[in-house]
Amino acid sequence: MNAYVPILVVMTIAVVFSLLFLVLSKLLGPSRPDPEKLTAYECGVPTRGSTNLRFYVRFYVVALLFLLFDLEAAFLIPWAVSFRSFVADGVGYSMFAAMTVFFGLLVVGLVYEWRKGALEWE
Amino acid sequence: MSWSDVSLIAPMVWLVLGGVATLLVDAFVPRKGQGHLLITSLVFVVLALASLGRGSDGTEAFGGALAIDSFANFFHLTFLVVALMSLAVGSVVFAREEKPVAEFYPLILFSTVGMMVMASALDLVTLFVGLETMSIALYVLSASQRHSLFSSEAGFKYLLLGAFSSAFLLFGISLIYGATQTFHLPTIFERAHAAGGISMYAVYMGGWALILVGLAFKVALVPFHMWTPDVYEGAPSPITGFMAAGVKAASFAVLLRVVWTASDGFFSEAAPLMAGLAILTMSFGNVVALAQTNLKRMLAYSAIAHAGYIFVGLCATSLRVGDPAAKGILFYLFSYALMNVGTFALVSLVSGRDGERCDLDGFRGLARRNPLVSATMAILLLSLAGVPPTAGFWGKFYIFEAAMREGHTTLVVIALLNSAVAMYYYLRVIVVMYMREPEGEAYDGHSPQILATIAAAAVAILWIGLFPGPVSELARLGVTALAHSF
Repeated sequence: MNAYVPILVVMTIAVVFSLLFLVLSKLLGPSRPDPEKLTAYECGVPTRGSTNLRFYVRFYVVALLFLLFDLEAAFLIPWAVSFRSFVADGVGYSMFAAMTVFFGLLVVGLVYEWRKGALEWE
Repeated sequence: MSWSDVSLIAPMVWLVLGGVATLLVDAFVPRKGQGHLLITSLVFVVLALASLGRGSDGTEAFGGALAIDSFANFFHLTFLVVALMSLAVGSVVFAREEKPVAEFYPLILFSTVGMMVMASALDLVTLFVGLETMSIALYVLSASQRHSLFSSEAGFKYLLLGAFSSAFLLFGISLIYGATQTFHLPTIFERAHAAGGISMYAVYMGGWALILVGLAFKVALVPFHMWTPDVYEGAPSPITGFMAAGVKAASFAVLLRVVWTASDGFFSEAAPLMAGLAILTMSFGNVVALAQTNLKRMLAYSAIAHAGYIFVGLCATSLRVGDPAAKGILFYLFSYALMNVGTFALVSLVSGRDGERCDLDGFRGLARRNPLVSATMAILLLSLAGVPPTAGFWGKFYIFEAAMREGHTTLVVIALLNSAVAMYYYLRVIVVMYMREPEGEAYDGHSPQILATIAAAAVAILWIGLFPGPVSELARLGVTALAHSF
């Protein structure tokens, strides 16, 4: 348990100091708001329109598709990098089979989306 | 991983293949109805049923990630029966929609795979993967009635609170790993029982407490039950039956393994806490169910109460071969699965398309309009109440008797009082069906699939009620296997 005492100390310092500075700036800092200061910061140019924009719902499907490929890459790359050591350990075939199953399931998902028309931008 | 591992999990493999097959059939075979999807999915469930029963006690697959023993097989059988019935009922309910949701079939199959992984999981990470596989499919399924606001609300609520509870579970798992340096439950058991025990005891205990909270969300123990009534009411009835029965069975399977793993550490010290949870859950569920006029909501609160009864068994479980309380839990979960899926099938039959007749008035005079359906409903309700010639009675009997023998007299007395309270609201439905005049439009729910399902459920409940021996023996074998893995 003693090994964790330094972490506790660091956490305490972090909490105490951040709260301290928040409170100090609130107490000591001058507060003279005007409309210019209160507007949202948008790269320095005058703000235009509302921030409550509507997003096209189709982006949602694209985001899901992205997730599919993103996960695939996140799994595939470490697997590919360590494949030589799998072969050296004699588990090359079973690791290949495992990745094929994973890949196959993802491809089924993609084919399904395709057939259902989720990839059409209409 | 080797070929023998894959053949050990053949039932799960069949279900995954079934899910993929129904997706592809739906994508490539354009048909108007959903009969082809139903048949495809049923074929794979039957294949999975046929390949059940592999492995022997103590068999571990995938390097200790999964246990394929009588315990797991008992639960796998339960889940497959639940899936079979839900598919049959759901095919009718979803076909009534304007835009039929074809994803229903693969999602039920994938969710069942998740439950099976949970019941087999010997490893905390595998357990988590199974739990998420089950839950994510269920979030989608609860929201699958697209025209219904309630259904969307149910899905969204379930997703948010489910994610919240997963966080508890994950945090607990990470603490356990920190304290024991392993995810493997039998190894955790060994290390906790080794000389000197676990050095970071506080972390270890905190881990189990968080895991208990995460699972308590899933089985809807009070005070972690807030999502249950809204989700059970809003979700389409076949899905409600599927998740009330399946999720409960899967989570209690996990809880049994967890409680047995940590029996000497956390759960012996937390015994008063556990008893408190059981008492709170039973009493709250039953008392609030009394006040409900919507049948689905009433059944939701009754599901909470049933979780409480089963939890009494968990309080009384002892680390012994052939532990009677654990056997009672297995028996209870199996019979509860039958009656619950049956009851919700009946609700979806009577309540019509939008579930507008889910309130008690929809059942007025049902006995005169359709004597057979109301007789089945009466059997299912009496079984839920625990009246003798039904399976529900034996479930309660086994659990309460075992708890009595372990010396939990207070718990058993409170549970019995609760059963008496519950009798009132179950009987009220029967009174409404048999002793009130029918009003409004005539009952029009004729569907061979649903009628066959509820008839099968009612017959099975009566059969098990009259001859509890075979199921009880299967449950006993399951508990023996559970003891064997530690």
